[in-house]
Amino acid sequence: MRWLLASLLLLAARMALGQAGVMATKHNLSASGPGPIKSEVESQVCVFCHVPHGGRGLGNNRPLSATSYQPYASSTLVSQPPDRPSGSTRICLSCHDGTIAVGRTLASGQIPVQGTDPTGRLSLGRSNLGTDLRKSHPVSFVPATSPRFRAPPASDPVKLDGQGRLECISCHDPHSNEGAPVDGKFLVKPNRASTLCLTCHVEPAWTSNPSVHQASTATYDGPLGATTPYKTVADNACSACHTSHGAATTARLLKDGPSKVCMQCHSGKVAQRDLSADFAKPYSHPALGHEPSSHDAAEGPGNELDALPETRATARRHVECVDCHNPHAVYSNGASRRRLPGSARSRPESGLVLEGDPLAQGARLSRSFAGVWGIDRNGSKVDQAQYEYEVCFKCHADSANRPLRGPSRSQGGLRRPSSNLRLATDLGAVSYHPIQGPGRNPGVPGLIGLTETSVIYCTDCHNSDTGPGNGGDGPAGPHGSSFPYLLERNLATDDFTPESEEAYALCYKCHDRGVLYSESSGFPHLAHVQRARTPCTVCHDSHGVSALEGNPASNAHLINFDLTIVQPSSGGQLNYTSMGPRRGMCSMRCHFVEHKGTMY
Amino acid sequence: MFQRSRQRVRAAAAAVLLASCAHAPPPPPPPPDAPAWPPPPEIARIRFEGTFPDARIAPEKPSIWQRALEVILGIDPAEARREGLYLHRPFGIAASDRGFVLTDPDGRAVLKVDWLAAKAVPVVCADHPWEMPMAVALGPSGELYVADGGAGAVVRVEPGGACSLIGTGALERPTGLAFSSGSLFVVDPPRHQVVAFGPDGRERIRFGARGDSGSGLNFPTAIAASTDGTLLVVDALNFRVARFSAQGEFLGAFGTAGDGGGAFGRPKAIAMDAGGKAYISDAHHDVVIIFSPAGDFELAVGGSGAGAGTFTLPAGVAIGGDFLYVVDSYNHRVEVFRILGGGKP
Repeated sequence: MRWLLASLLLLAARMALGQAGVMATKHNLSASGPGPIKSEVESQVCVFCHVPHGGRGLGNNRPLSATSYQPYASSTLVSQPPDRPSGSTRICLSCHDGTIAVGRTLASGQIPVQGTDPTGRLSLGRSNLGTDLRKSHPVSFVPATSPRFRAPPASDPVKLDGQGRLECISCHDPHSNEGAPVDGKFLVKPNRASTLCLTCHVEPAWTSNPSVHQASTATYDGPLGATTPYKTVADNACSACHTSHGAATTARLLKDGPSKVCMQCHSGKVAQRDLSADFAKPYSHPALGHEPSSHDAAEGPGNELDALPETRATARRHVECVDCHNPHAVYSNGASRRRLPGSARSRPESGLVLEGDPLAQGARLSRSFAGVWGIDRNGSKVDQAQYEYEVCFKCHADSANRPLRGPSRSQGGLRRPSSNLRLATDLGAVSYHPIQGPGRNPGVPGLIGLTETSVIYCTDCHNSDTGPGNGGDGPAGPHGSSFPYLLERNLATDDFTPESEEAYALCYKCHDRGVLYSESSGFPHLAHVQRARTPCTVCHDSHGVSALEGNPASNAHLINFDLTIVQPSSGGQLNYTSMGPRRGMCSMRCHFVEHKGTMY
Repeated sequence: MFQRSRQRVRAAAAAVLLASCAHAPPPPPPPPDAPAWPPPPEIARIRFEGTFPDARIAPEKPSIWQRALEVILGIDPAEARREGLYLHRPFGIAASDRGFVLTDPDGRAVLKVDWLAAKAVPVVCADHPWEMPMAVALGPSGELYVADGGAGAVVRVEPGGACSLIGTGALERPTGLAFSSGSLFVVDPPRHQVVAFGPDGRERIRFGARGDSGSGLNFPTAIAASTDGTLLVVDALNFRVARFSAQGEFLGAFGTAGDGGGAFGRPKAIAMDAGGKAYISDAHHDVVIIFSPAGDFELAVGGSGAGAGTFTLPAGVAIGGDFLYVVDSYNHRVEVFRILGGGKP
């Protein structure tokens, strides 16, 4: 009798839904499988998940109360971390565990199996970044609204459950495959251009800039790595890089590491230019092949666990694509990229401010840095970097773990401590290349395409040797270079280098070679560089000399001697004294030549 | 007096040396109010004993010397800090002589655990990284058989570490293993079949077909062998346990769908004790249900939760001696219970 009542109720419910229903889906687990419905076995289809009341009433199967549990955690999670799987999610997980249905599919990211030490004890290595990082979208928690997350609107197919929790059924309807005919997977609504994700996740710059990824119609389909049936980057949207189930071990549900996931497209496959060639060069920002890195999206000056700039000398240094680029916000305002080799400076998008451009007032910043935070000239965090150097200063300025000594002499390195570049190029520094602002020397002879009040970029010198700045057609940017220090052009640093156009090509980009070796340079460069074969870097610092490290008399003109080559004079003196424009006095010993108060 | 202090020094030195040679402490005794089933005032048949991992594998606090070494060598303390063993989602289990062997499909690992000494050693195959190790069984000569669902095969691991594959191409997604009458029986849920392999790795017989009654199976997920050679197959979506002979002849079934009194919600795995009782984990009701050898419901152990003696989606079950091991998959642990009365009828 009870059975009849139950089946009648179920029949009524099914008719009320008015859909073809679960019969035709994979969730019809009856032994008859999907196909023509036999009315007398209708209740048999529901029983797999909706276990009926029954049994002999003996024994105690009542659930007990929950206690504490190791939760999902992420450094950028705003809500209360999820509890154990609860409610309807448990029913899903009881089959989607690898037995009746495949569980969370494992991604390409490898989880290292823990090794043992010689005594056989389990070696207690670092667990997954110290948190319980599950590789699927968190469920069974009440999401907190924030500027980055909103509750789904009342009429939306995406719903929180009766207790306001996010569960599997918020995005999946196990009874019907009709909510998303193209996507399938029992989704409640289509996820084209990630409308499902964007129901709750707020990413304002994505549509307002708009991000190049949001607008791109480039082909990106299954063979290229797409996990949706859509075939363009814009239609895949979030799913191009993120996956709700089966993410890699890194955080934020990425398909792979935060730099490897970019390489799906930016290695010559979908995007126009091939960055993997640059990353493979001998000198690069090593974003690939060093995972897992210590990058965390929540890193910043105030974060004790993940301080950036780093505050401990022993902290690991890292670099990922996302340290400099924000894929949700990055955009282009269509400015031309062409630059001529050896000629006037590369100044991307300068002066080309289009109407409605979100970065209109920061014409000094390339749009590829949109949405990226930085460290400004005072050492404070800015949420949107305004100048290119602010992005670089995150790691190359106040970090406590900067390498203290340069590479060895045999690798073409210099023996000068790696200085705090923010202080070295500060406008109050003794002498500096004009990166943060115009230089302080009113008379610099032989500038090409620049004046004494010009401001230059880090990427004018540090750039790819095959990029447009050097006349190539590779990608622009300091991703990798064949020249040491990630320089765009050659800069020899070895003593006794024969001078040539090639030897110091980097300096000659802006400093006219002809003027330099003539009388008008104000110093006998001809004798020193050409005849004595002394490289520029023996006497000059490339970036600047901060007020803490030098003084105006001794360190004008970026003078900062390379102490492995320049030796004290026989009287024990090693100094330079500026005595006004085009006049100075030197005491040292180089190439077995003594200078004792030698003036020019 | 001088001599006595020397003796004291010697004694102290000996004590220090002995202490440093000491092994890990044995498992802590269960708390006096450890949960038991049936609950008091009934006579307890099953009592909670402990969990794995437990406090003996807790993260160590660094000593003064360790910290000094870190300062001298410039080791980043946050990097060096060691953390405890983490089971992503443990699933399958088999009892071994000093503990059990555990599979973790989401962690892609198989662990040999000596529960008494708190040691866990990963089982690694050089040429076969684990894809989705679902179940494990110990062979008669100490070899391990691991059902790797993702690879569609059973991996045989010799005691020396050599690995070989059994059943490639013959299995779709094996999730359960049992030894009986010299053959290895493997359940394959997507095909609704049980496949038997001989010691040479060749398929011997195959039985089972999709159906909802009689000898039909609907996603069989686990299998156990009793001492008389009968096989008990957890027929998950028929909400029952089906009995087969080693030749594949259907011998009967017990169990029904329901939410109380020994009825099944989502039966997952099965183990048998020396007396022939069947212990079946149920992921819907978060219990382990015990049936008599005749198939009558006896007792349900556990409940929903994350404390002592409660489960969240229990998976594998195994019995070793007096111990009942239950894999508490979504609480990332194995719970150990003691079968009082030794599991004899």
